[in-house]
Amino acid sequence: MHEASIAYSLLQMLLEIGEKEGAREIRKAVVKVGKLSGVVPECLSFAFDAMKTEYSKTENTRLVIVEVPLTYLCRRCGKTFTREDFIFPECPFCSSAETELIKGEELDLEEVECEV
Amino acid sequence: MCDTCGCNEKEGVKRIYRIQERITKSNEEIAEKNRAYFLKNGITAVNIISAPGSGKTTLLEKTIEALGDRIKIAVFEGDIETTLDAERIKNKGAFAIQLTTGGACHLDAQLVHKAIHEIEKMEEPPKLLFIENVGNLVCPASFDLGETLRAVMVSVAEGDDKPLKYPKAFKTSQVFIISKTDLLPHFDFSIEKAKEYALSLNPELKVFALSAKTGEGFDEWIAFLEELTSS
Repeated sequence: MHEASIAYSLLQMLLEIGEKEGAREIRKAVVKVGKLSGVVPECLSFAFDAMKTEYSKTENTRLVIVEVPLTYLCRRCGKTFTREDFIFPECPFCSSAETELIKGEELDLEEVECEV
Repeated sequence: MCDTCGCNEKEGVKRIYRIQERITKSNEEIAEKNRAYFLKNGITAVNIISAPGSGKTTLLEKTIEALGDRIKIAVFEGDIETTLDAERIKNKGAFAIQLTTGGACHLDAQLVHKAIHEIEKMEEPPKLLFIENVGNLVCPASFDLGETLRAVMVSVAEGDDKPLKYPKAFKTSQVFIISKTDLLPHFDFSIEKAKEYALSLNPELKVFALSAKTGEGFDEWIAFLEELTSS
């Protein structure tokens, strides 16, 4: 349940942004979570909602999680493709096994909506 | 209500900030400081990640026995509770610091940073530092400690499909250790399969298969560490 540590870091980032921008409250935070980020979206939401009420600026913050699927680039034919799982990601166009994960490891704060 | 003059909007102005920042940014900043410290002081730091009971502490005991008289070794022992593992390491003559996380399922860069202040008290800094993470193949994978190298370990008793079940640990490591190979006759564990799965996730992984009990495969591991610390 390392999502608790991550939810805590996220809250600190939001409070810092809120402070910097003189926000009265933070309404919404959009977070990108890759399928191979090692973070379970439900656990992150649960931990975030449990902790956000500790601070007046975040007590009503809505956390929006955008899940990022696994996207691979084929080194042989140069095409990209998405996959549900990461087991032997062969290129569906040319069958090459030389593929590289280019998306799916994200754990990023993307957008913050503040009320100033 | 009116949508043109804004009279239906709540008091206050809404502002949207677009940023792109890692949520684990604060951990990564401290990790970079740790990494700089290790580099400056010629310390090779190895972060060992595995499930509970894979044999992390036993691997370290045997490694200290084999290398301790030639290379100065220190160990940070991550555990949720107790100082038992640090005692085991001290008994082998290496410098050990117990990091008890008090419930947390992983070590983070800040905990390691605190422990660095303890190694500064050593007369001679270690050449090789092992950071034994909390027994867990999930959470430790998400936290950079500033280590030089990350090693993920799976014992024969756990099954050869572990790389597929815990992909992040294998994707972020440079070394994969298969431990307790003396148990191979008793389990349906295929070293070839485990390797194949792990390499499909991370083709750069260097793989060791060894038994700390019989010493099988241990020479390769020791030679690897010697080469690592000599450069």
